[in-house]
Amino acid sequence: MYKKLVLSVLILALGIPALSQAQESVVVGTSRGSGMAPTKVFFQKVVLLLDAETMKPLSGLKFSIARSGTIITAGKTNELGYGLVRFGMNNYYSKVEINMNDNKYKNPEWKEDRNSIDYKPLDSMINFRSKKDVVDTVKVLLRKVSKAKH
Amino acid sequence: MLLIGVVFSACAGKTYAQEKPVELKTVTISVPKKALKETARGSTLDLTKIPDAKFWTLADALQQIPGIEVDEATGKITYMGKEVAVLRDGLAVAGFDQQIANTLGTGSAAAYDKIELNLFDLRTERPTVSFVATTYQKGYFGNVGTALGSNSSTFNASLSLSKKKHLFNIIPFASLMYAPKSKQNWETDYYHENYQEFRKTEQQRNHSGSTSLGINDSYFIATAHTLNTSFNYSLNNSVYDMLSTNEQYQAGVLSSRANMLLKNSGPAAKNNVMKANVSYVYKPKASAYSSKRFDVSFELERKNTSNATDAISTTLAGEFKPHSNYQSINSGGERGMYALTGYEYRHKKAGNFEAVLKYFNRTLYKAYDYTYQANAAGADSTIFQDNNITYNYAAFLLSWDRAFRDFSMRMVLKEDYSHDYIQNLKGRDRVGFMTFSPYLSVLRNIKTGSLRFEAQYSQRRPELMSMSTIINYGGQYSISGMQTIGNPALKPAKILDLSGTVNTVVSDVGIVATGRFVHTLDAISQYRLAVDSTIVQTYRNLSSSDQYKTDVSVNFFLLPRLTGQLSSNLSFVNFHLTENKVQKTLQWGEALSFGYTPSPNLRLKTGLSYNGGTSFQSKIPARFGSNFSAAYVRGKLSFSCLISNFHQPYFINENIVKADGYQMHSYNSSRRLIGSFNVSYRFGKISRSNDSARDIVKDDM
Repeated sequence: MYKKLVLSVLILALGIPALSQAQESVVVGTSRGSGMAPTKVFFQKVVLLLDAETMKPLSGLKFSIARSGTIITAGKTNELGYGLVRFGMNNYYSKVEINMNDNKYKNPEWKEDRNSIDYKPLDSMINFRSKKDVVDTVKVLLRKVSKAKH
Repeated sequence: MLLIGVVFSACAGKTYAQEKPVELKTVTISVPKKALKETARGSTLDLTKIPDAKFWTLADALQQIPGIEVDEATGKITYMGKEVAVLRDGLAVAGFDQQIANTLGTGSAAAYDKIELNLFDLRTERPTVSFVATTYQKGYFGNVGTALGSNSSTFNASLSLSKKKHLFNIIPFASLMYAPKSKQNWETDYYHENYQEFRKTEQQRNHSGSTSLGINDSYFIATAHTLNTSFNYSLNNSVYDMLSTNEQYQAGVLSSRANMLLKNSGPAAKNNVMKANVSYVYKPKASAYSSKRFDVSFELERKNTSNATDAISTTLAGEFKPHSNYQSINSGGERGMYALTGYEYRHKKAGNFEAVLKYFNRTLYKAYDYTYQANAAGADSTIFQDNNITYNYAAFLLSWDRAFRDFSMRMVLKEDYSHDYIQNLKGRDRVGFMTFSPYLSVLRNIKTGSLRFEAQYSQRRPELMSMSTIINYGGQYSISGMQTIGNPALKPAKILDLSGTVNTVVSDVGIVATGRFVHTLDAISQYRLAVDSTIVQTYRNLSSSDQYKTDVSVNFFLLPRLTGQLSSNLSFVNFHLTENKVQKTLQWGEALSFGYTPSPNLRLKTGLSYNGGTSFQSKIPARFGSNFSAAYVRGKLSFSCLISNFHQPYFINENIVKADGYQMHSYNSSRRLIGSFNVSYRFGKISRSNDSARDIVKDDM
């Protein structure tokens, strides 16, 4: 009998850490997967940048697309004033903001991407009509900002 | 680069286009570079190429690498079930691994640019993950964070200064854990003697704390020479109180009862760890075809542990229970010295060669001081036992790897010798083992991902350190005849480990499937055996075991910015205990989780899991788990909160053990709901990265 008693004490003393470990693994589930969702599907949107006064297309202009102050992607207009913007499944928003040389979006990657002539959009909000249309065009009117102000 | 011709008609502004259709000329678009690169050597995840990475916790980021699993509760990172060692910029920085383990669920991945997984690191003889920060300007940088939670609170920081030829870094860390109150019940039936035991315990207070400080410096002596030094000191304390009732019945009649109040404490002054590491890297200027590198590393470690238990009991009138009133002190000390030297030669055509030679010396001291009430009159008796173990280990490792067009392979050979001297294990006090392990890794890149295969044969020596506890009460309470420590026929286990991974995309759905087969011969196991109602803890070679494990994860976008993940895992083990006796276990788990990004600054995640099965001699009832988390990032500040198991704030857990000679039914109840809130702030710009040096992770214990 004494042997059993000795053993009870032993189990009591040794059993505690084992028990708390067992509990821990129970409290937090261990099922977790691995890998990531592929962002193969892209949404392509085209913006047309026009001079608000002359309504002429503005070619070779660099711009960035942001949402809630965070830059998502960037583009550059071709000779006809069209700039293609691509979004992945991970960063597509139907409402975004367009920025021309706006320094508040401080991002070291975009530092070199500045235009020689400063333009400002009349309305910086862009609304893509439908995400079903993979390609659609949004016109953005820009006004030249006089250099003296900057 | 990809060329996409976008041709469409558009109605442009009146003034210039006069309603004419306009053709948009070919637009050149650069395809986003792949964030994950895989070779036979391992995988590299480039966090800078993933827009969502700034919301990720360290656990989220690690989980993106196929095959990696993270357990936030224990801080454990595994690759295909193998434990992973953690490095910073390719270096084993003292204290950094602990910091990562403690902040897996709260630390921000934004502090790093890359995570590199090496499947077989010659330094550590196991997989390693390295958190890499890239080069920027000189000056101060770092991060500060704090987490407040229902079960624990932590403070962590990393402060760095890059100046002239030095990169200096300080890592302070503090944590406080407070486990919820819990109640446990055990009912044990010993078949042979018609004897039952009922035990109830109530854990009233269970607190532990940890503080540590790490200091490290990289000294860039000259272009080819770098000297890294690091030092870490940590203090740990713990305390718990427990109330228990123990009743024993012989043929249904109450024969014994004891109510015990047990207090256990481990003060910080007696529980501390010191680590110091010096490593030197020589990397001469690379030629167009080849480069080489030489490094030396040296590490010292000191660890002290001590905890005291005080037990006071009341028993049935007239009943005397030995050892129910006692004080005990368990203490130990560990001293380690580790040295490593490595050489690496990389050639464009011949591939990469690596050789590592290492040596460890470790001494361990354990003492058990036990004062107990020896008879009903109240006389005290004392038992003092101690043990010294000296361990020596030397290993030589060779590796070759080469990447071809869509295919890469790696081979590693290892030979080692270890020797133990165990002072108090009579008759088995000197033990030596020589083991040999080859390893092969092959990776094939396919159009949509990769196929990976790994094969390893290894021999594992017994973990003799944990066999050194000898408790014998002597006299009428002697259990020396019942307890077996070690096994005279103990030999190294032989393990064949085969694993494969498929990482692919099928119609916009990412699939990661892994399979692993582990065949173990002469498996060394801690085996509990009941003989005449007495449990004997012993180590022995099982004849063999076969483990089959599969994991499948499916990742997809449901809508833009809404991800889903389905994962399923199965683990089947067949234990051949003796020639005639076989035990099978099966564990399974299913999980479903969703992630949504309503705005670039906010990330929401929720998940549900369901798992259960059987383990060695016991059953795990199936149960649900749930979690919800939200992370918000604004500039350099980030906030996050996490709630786990909101569907079941309080629960009763049940476990059944069926072993030789006895059956134990246990159930415990405690709070299951866990919540935490975290804030962290990053400052400055990350400075130049270290040149990685070889470092040592002790694989022996």
